[in-house]
Amino acid sequence: MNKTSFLSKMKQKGTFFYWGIVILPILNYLVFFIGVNINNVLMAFKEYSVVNYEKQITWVGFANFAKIFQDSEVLGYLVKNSLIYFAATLFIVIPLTLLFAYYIVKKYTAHTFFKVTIFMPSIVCSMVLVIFYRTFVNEILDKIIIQPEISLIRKDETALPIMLMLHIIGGFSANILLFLNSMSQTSVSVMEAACIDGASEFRTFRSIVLPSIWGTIVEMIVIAMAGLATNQANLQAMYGNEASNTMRTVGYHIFVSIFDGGAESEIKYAYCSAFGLLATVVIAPVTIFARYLMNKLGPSDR
Amino acid sequence: MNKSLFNKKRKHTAYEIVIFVVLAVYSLIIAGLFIWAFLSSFRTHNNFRANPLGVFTEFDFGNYKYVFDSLKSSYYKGKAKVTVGLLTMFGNSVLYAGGGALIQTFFTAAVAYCCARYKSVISTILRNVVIVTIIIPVVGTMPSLLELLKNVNLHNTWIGIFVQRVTFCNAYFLIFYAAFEAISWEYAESAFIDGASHFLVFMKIMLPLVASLSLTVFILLFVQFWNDYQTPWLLLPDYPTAARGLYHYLNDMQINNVPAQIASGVIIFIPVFTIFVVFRNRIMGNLTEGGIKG
Repeated sequence: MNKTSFLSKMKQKGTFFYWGIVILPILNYLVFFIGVNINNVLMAFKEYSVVNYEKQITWVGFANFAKIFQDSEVLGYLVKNSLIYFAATLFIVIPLTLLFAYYIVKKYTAHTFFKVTIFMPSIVCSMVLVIFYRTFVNEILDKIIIQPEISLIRKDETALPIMLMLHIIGGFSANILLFLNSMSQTSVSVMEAACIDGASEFRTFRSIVLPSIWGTIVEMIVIAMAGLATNQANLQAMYGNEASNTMRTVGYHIFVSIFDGGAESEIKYAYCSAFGLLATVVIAPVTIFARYLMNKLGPSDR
Repeated sequence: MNKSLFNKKRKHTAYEIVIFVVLAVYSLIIAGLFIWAFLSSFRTHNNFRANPLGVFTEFDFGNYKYVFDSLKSSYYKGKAKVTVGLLTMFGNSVLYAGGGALIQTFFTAAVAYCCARYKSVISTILRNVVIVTIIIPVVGTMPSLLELLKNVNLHNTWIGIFVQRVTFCNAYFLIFYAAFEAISWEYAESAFIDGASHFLVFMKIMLPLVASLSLTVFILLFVQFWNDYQTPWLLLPDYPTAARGLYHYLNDMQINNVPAQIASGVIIFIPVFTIFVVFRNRIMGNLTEGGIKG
């Protein structure tokens, strides 16, 4: 066989192999992402009802969206709480994780132990973490240290801070791995040179580490923004489907609404789709614009 | 990292001291919480009630036996109530987490390999699709997915779950992509000359070269799926997993015995904790966007 014929045959076989591999994932994407999202948009304008044991679907225009705004007080709580969790991630979790990761990368005292303890919550099922945390609050804080009349987890004024604390404790572990991996690729020789030149810790961090991992920081913020409408903040694990309106986040509200008519019922599906669609329409452009701005205005690693 | 630079005896900076204190407090809370909870699971309800902090006052396996016997999950098949025990739920968890992680890891790696090594318009489109899908937040599609699965009779079936895992749209795609791009194509060319097929080159040469990364991704996905109780609850109601069973156990059965509640959490936590202990270095140090490490 001459070389041209061999290469042509290999190219043909390569095409078969290529399509053999990618065809199923492409079909999966078309059905479970594109298809599901198109169906989601359509569902947002429908209403599901049961008449004489028969499922009936009717087009209702923007009625499902109107329902979302009907209870403006609840909507206010959902938006406010989701923003509070987002702010906690943005201003506490991400900056502190960044500082923790830098500490570990520089192999300061007990870095291995700290790495394990920071990462630990991310491997624990949220149910398990909540059991441990709830027991601690109920049995230690409630009964021994603070002794309030109503449990801190049940009282409206204290429930949110208690859940926020759990969100922050668990939040470090979700981000630490990406920051560590990103930082470990920062050039050691550049950091060494800075150290020899007498650069301070802050200067090295600001001028070398930060620009080199800026992309990761942007992605973390983008994920946190996306989480504005999906973050359930462990509410399901802590309260089941019964968390009070004053504590609910958008993500939790959408999830538990699926069960409002019973787990097998489709009555609330359209409402959930409308809520999800509305959240996507609001958050997606903001996220993309914020990402664009952060990439444009952020520090350069050159 | 250069040890001479970072580990030699030197004056501690303010940053180092402050972060050390913060991390020490944080670690104390986390480690303290886990150790206290674990030791409390070996106490009787009355002993725990008398003094929640007296962790060394009793050591009894009764809670574990109680949980093993009572942690059950029920669902309705028609009008008949079906109850499954902990072992069945563990079996479902292994299948859900193991099967899902295996399929997703393989297809993510395979598509990333195709896109990295077989450059074409389709490859570019697929890579951009992944990036766009990761960046754009899409919310509240679960009802739509449920409806779709019900309409095609895939709801409440293992096939319905596994078909969804034949996906490449996740962050691990980019990691695999970078890893495959970094591998020299000369290995493949030599194998082609020796008569190997494209599939054989992928399976026998390329995949083993990223075996370490694949295992890390598999473990991370396994842990994620093991801990997920919401998706199996909605999409696989007749096959309760251990995490879902735990949720119902604690929320529906009104267990007042606090140490038993903790013991139920410990039982579900043990498998992933074991995986974490065995593979901790791999999990925490083997994933880089640049490719393969270690």
